Amino acid sequence: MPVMRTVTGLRAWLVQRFSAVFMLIISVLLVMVFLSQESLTYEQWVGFMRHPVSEMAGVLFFFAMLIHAWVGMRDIIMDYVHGLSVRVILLVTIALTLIAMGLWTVHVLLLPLA
Amino acid sequence: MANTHNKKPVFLNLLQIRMPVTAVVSIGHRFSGLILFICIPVLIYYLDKSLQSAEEFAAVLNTFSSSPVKWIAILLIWVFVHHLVAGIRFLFIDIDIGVDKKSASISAWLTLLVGFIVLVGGVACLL
Repeated sequence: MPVMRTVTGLRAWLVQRFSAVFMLIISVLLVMVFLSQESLTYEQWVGFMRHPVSEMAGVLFFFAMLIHAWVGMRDIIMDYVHGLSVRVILLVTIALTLIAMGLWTVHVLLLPLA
Repeated sequence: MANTHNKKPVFLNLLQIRMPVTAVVSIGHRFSGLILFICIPVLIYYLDKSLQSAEEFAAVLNTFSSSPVKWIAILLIWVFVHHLVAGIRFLFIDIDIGVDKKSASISAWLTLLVGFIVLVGGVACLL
């Protein structure tokens, strides 16, 4: 295995922190937007979510969430699941699930009529 | 595989180990993260539904105004807040703020306290 990366921990560590900070910022903005509203009608909600800025921020938010979840779940499995085959099956299952949820998110946020 | 060269006794009965508060916050962060992972499809599902039509939007609001769902939501908000606050605490520790034993212990208690306040506040809103 001559070309395997020898260190993968630092990258995962950085990804985990940057995605966390990004989600934190978006969450604070979102809470501020909703606290400034008296009540929320369907028209307001759709108008807000279909705004291009919200769509982009939403996709980036879910992308950060899914990659954050990946690093976290990978950490948990590497710590507690030691059998190689079980570990691989779980990791592949989680990865596919997260990819599917990413596609689903893009569909919900960007391609509602498709 | 870790124990092939290491014959030290291993005692891992979690019910009998007296964990320091920092360990409780840490394992709570991990466990809350696992729960939040499981909630991701639920979140996307309700986001999708809420955007489909005015009727679906009203149906989502209706779902979240039913009592059992509210209780679950309060618990999940607690889980989320713990994960968030514990995560912010870890970020500070990463940049060398609050690393020493005393401040780490204080911030751990504060993390649990914030979650507890949110939980009590949520329950108070429901009662």
